Amino acid sequence: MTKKTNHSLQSPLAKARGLGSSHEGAHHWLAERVLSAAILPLVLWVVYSMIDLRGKSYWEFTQWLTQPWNAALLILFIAGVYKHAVMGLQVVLEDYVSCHGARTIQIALIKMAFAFMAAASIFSILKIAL
Amino acid sequence: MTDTAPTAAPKTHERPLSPHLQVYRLPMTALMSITHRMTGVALSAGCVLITAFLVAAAVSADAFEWIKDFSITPAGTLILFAWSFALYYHLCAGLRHLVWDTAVHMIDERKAVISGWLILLVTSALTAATWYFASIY
Repeated sequence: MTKKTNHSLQSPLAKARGLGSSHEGAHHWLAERVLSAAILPLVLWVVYSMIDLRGKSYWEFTQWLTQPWNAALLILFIAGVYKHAVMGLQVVLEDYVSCHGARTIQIALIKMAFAFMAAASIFSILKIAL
Repeated sequence: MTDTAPTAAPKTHERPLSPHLQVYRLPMTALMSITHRMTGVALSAGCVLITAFLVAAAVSADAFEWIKDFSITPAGTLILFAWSFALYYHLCAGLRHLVWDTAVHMIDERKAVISGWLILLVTSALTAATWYFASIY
């Protein structure tokens, strides 16, 4: 048995942490599922609100969004659903893009795009609501 | 050149074929699975439209009215209809995944096919109900 010297500044534990589950894998898996369940009522509320607001004027729409609970729920919807979309798209890319470099870049671009869309959406909600 | 050609072809084994997508018809469960992914990707693209709508509403009343007018054109209605169907499908199939993750005994071939048809039925019913309420309102 040969003893391997660790020349890196990283401890063996820190190295293992990025490479496999090492007590972190279940967290991501569970977060995907908990978030899926959490956005379910928000999605149904948005569908109900869309039916309710169908054909209404701009004034009526902005009045609706001025209500604190509507603005709060819509912000939660945006944050939750966009995060869910990012997690789902990440799994799809991990499964179908075999080139590791391209996959990493694509996942990063998806995350940035959704972070921007979330910021733009939430800012717009607040601009109308306030 | 020699005339000692092999008299018998090399023995071939009856190996199982991989599901080659051009020649292999996917079973119902596999179609349901890939549809869950495709609706998920399509709904993610829908997030771009949600963002565009909210930003437009924040920018001007005219932009809001333009989107409202477009939403009732045939093209707009078709997009919204497909959107609602994809949403309900992904929602029902996602719920089934949550059930499978919680109760392993719910996965077997027969149950997967039955719940698959149930998902299609509920998805259609929810889509129809949504558009019925949207039309009478």
